[in-house]
Amino acid sequence: MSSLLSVPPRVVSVGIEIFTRELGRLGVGHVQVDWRPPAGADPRLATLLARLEARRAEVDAANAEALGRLVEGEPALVDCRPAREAIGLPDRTVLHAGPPLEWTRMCAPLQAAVLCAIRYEGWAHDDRRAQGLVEQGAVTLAPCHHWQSVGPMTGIITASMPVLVVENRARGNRAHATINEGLGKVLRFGANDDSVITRLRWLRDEAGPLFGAALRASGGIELRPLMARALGMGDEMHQRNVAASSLLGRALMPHLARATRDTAALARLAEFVGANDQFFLNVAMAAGKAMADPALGVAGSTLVATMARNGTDFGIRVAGLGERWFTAPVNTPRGLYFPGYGPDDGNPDIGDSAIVETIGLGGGAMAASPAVARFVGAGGVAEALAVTEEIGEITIAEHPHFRIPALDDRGVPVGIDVRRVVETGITPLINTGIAGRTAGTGQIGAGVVRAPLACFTQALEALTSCP
Amino acid sequence: MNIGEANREALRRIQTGTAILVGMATARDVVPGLRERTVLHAGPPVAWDRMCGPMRGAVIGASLFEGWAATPTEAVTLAESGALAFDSCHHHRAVGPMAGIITPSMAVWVVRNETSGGEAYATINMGLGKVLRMGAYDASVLERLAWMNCELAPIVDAALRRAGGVDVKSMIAEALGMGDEGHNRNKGATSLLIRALAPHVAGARTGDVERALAFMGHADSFFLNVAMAACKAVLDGAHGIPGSTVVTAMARNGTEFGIRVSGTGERWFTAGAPKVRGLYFPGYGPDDANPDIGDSAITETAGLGGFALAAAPAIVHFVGGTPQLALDTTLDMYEITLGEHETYRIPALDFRGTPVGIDVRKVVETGIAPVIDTGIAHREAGVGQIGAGLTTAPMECFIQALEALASPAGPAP
Repeated sequence: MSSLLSVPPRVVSVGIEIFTRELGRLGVGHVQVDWRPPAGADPRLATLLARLEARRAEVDAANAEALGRLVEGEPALVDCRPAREAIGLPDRTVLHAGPPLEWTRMCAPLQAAVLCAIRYEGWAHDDRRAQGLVEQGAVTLAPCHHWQSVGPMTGIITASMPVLVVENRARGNRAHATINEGLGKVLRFGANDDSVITRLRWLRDEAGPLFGAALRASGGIELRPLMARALGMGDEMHQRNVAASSLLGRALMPHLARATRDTAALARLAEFVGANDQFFLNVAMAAGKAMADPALGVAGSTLVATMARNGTDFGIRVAGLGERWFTAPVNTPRGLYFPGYGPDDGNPDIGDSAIVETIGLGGGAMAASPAVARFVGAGGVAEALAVTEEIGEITIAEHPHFRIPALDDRGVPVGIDVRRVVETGITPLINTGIAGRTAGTGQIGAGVVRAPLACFTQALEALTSCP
Repeated sequence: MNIGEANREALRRIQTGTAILVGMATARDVVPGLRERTVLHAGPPVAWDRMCGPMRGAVIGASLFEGWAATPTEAVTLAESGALAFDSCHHHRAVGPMAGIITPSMAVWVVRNETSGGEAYATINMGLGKVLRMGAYDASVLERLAWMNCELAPIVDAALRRAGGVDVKSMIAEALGMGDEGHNRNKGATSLLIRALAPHVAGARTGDVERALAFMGHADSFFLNVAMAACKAVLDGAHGIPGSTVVTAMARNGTEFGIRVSGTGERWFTAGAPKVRGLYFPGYGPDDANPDIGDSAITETAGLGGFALAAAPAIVHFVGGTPQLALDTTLDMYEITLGEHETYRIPALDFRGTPVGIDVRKVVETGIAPVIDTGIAHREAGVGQIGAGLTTAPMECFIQALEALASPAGPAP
């Protein structure tokens, strides 16, 4: 104490920076500590966090178990079959992306895709009759996630559509996704004209069976090492899949060639796969679901096991809270738009593809993918790195298998912790395509979007109310 | 033209030169000046008695493949007798990795520079394990050579023609965003090439499609020879500009390292081939290594390989380095080059172009030698690759070139 008045002060300032700005102006030595009250200084949330803190050891142990299941999954692409066979999907059922949603609350692209799928299946021959079936309850709507499946954007799956089958060999569970349709007018963006249905029929009649035969004969393609390699090749596996698509194509081609004598069909399929840099997205999503699903049901865990959007709501599911969804109105992505489009044309965030962020890829892996940072308008290398570092604030580990060469092989941040999200107010960042909000427009850009905080505060409440 | 103008012209030609893979042909039909009983090899000219082990092995293998000899002993006798003519690939618009052997019956990729009108050639990469380029010549190598050159080549040629050609420069640019540097790592580009060709391999309906696709996808090095021919096609377009101090070829024959400079014509400036610092596969060490070998340093000359190392941080693990070493290596190369590549860009450097246009003056002035990122061959024929690492071009080559450029009489033609 005696030196307090005899030497110049050295100040540690915690929180608001206004004090250090003034000290700096006066030339006083100081250290600024970046601190803010937890949970945005909301006393109720702070109380809930404190309640979890009281049983921290128990929660941490549960999270370690959930994390282990999430990162040690061994997904393999093993088959491609009609949804009817692969998941027992009955007729007159349409699966869609995101949490459950009734017809009247669906956004225009999703409604258009539902009607298009009904016409494709032949349950109705025009949109008016198709809509009648939905409104009478003669067609059932359900989330993909409730059927061991995931779908990008509108995420539509019906019984005759072929689905890629991914088996998690570490735990025996399976997950499914349709074959990515490519660019242009596609069902996943709510396009609904005859060209969409023609392509769906080709996928059903030619591409799906050929993929299935090749995959079954191949004995399965291990996806975790392939995804790890692609991450080292600049893919974050949400908005960029060019390396993963090329690696998978390269691995599949000899099996496809062996599976058919019809070289014209083989050429059509090779061309279809080769023309679509996002071919792997659906595979990555099914792999993501196959890896994340075993974490659902680990009692006491606060880790996020599902994130999905239906164009109206954003929903999460939490490892310790089982099948329950926590939803909030979805945000609209911001980014770079194709010529002729702007922010006003964008649909609110949609699709199950945020499963990719749930397993540590996508937005959180931005540092691996400077090209994506550019594409989604997030800036350069430094900004990409900052995104990955920020996601590190709300995750509990670095991935042991998915590593970033440019970061000296550090793992991507993984294991989103509801506690940390609420405490810091940092919500998961998702790299995403932007759909036009008018049905049939298709993709109009790419950007980033945040998960709404309200999903996480609701989950926190549930975590503290049912110990 | 003064030196500045000459170098600007050389750089302009490197930037604007194209590299379109148009087809595949038998060497005797397309490679200029390739006569019967002629063996082209990597690097500057070297006679049989000074050739290293892997190159001799490859000459033996090629003689057996061509039917010039029935046994390895006969092949050696043939080579010693002077009945074979040896010459540098580089003298025939061609390049070859490691031993780099090309004989008349071998199939070659044809890459066309539409800006200069010139073509360049390289053989099909044999993949991993026992391969001719490392001097192996047993029955399995000869069987694979026969299949590649007689069965695979027509399939690939038909596919390329059906595809209407492949823009190799664009493909390399895309692969730089996938962790490739175009020399020691070609995983991305190999996958992209297969993706581009697969529909046409199937659609051309000729030959064993399944084996062709499996062979192409088997090794990540499949694209290397294509990249080399592309670099050669572009750099040949910048060769022969009076007064230019830009390096247009760097090549090694396992005994000597040689460079050629745009303004000094066909002359080679050579020095002893350096050792490669690197990581060895289990069971091998520096004593087993052959000195640096192969025409693949044409990739560095074109702004790839060691010059693009920042794009391929995964590679530096090979040499026990960090991503920082990869960045630093590329940054160093900007010190000895005249420009930044307009097509080849590095994501980790915020898409800055790779350093390109090596200037003899800058190399001598700074004392910074070009870095080459390369495989290591065993010094005995046929053992194969035993490691990978980094090396630098010998400074002596650049000093000799500087002397020639500065001689009062002007560089000898």
